[in-house]
Amino acid sequence: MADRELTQAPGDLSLSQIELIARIRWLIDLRWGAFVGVTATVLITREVFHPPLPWGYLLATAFLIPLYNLFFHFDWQRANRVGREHLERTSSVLANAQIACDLVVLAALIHFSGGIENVFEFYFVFHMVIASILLSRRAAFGQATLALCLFAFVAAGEYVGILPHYNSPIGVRLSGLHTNSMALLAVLWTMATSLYVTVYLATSISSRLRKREEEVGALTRELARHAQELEAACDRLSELEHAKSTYARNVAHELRAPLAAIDQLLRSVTDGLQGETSDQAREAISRARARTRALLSLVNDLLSLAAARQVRVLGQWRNVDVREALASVVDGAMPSANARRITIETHIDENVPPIHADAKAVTELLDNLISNAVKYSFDGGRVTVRLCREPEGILIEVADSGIGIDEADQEKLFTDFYRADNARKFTSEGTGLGLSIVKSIVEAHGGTIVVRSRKNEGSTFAVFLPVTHPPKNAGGPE
Amino acid sequence: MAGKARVLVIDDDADVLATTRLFLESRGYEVLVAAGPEQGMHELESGKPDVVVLDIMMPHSTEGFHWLWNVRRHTDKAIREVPVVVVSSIHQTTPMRFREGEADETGDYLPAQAFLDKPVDPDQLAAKIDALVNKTAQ
Repeated sequence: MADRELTQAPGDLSLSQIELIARIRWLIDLRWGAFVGVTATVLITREVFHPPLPWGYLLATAFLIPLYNLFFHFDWQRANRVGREHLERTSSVLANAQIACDLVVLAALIHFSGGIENVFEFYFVFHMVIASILLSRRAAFGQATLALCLFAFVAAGEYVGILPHYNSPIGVRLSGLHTNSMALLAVLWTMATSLYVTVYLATSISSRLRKREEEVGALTRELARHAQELEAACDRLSELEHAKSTYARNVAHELRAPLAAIDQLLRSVTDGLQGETSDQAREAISRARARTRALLSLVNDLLSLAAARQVRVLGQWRNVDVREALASVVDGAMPSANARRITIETHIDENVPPIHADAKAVTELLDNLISNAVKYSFDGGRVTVRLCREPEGILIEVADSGIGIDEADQEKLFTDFYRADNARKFTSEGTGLGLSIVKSIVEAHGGTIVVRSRKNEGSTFAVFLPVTHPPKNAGGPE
Repeated sequence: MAGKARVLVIDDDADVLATTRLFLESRGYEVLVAAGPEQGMHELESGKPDVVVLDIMMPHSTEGFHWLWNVRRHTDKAIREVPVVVVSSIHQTTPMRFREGEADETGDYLPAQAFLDKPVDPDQLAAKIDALVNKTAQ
């Protein structure tokens, strides 16, 4: 109930105000229990010990508790209905009034059951603890003063005879204590120090805790603000990724289209479709065409690399059968392998599961690895492709019997545009982006890649891809 | 039959259009050309080509896509069923999926019979055209 009402309190109240509003409700609930406890104690004492006490007054005082508690209960409900400003204004008054009423009732109960002889007088102390937690330090000291005044009024009143004295019903009879001036002073002194020291200690601790709470609250709000900013940045990043993708597609067309046109024009000349040309001119045009095709390859690789680096966010993630992709890539590599009498051998484990991946990226990955293996194999060599199941993923191994990679070059292998010296000497074809593309795709799929190679003895690239790897923005496999 | 097939080439790039025409004519095809979708539809309806070679990215971005879907919805059955070879310089990393033999209304797959990347290899293009013409003849 208290929590529900607390959540209705507006969000911009300070923590101590929120705490106060919640605890006022708690205090009202607690008071119903206090009423039951006090009434039960009075009745049991009367029935068991039969001491000569003013039972009517005692019970009447006890019944004051539910009366004023009802008033506080309805006042609290009204304050909640009226709204924030009223609640803020009245919460402190309400808390002070409740504690003051409790102190008056406690003083009356003590008076009717033995005055300073009554050991329940120390119940004033826990009221001070409640006051110190809920109220400001000043108000808590004010409540301590009220408690002391009420107690002193009872004690002094009984001492001078203004108020009647009723002997304490508790076993240890302290009759006559209320007329002993030294005892009176000692009890008042003890009560005063107990009340003030309690308030001092409790307010010191609670103000420190309150300060901490305020700090934690401020940090929480700061954290929430940062989270919001981060979310906005993420959205912006997604928009930028999308814009980048559109840009890449436009660049693809804008760069590739003229290069394609140039290539076709040059080919029409070398094919003799544009009339007679000298051998020298034809040779120059052939070279121009080779350069055009190299440029096209570079544009293609740059676009592939850009796509590979975006695949985690923009990929079309679904279940992909790597066996199918591998078969089609091997088919595609066959013409260039056959032209150089290179055998491509495949060992495919039929139990390989589909993996959660971007199909185009997986094809691109396999294509790069296999075409590299063919490209850097010696004529008449052998490329072996293995695909097998691993405990939580799949393993793709592409091994060749080609030129190999020097140990010193192996760590730079995945750097953009890097080509090892022996690779450059072996063939001018290649942009140095193929393995960067491979690495980006492997990383986007949460996989790993390992190279084993020795110069002139061939290379083996081993790629592990997990079966499931949720991309950043995906809700799950399609 | 193959060498005498009538081919309509639609491309907004004049150089590509001219060279594709040269490549095909040198291989014995009868070639009709159109520099844009509207002219392409006119040539298709009047020239009745056996095969269409279509550039997919024309002036208004994806005009080739719409042109192709309009052909597939044409009232004339012969036109509706004309085999189409799509040529494009769109890179394979773009989200568009080109796959032979598959087409659906979602636009994921184009209702074309063959695909070729630009720059077009004349021999490959001729092989695709011949295969489609032979298939239609059967």
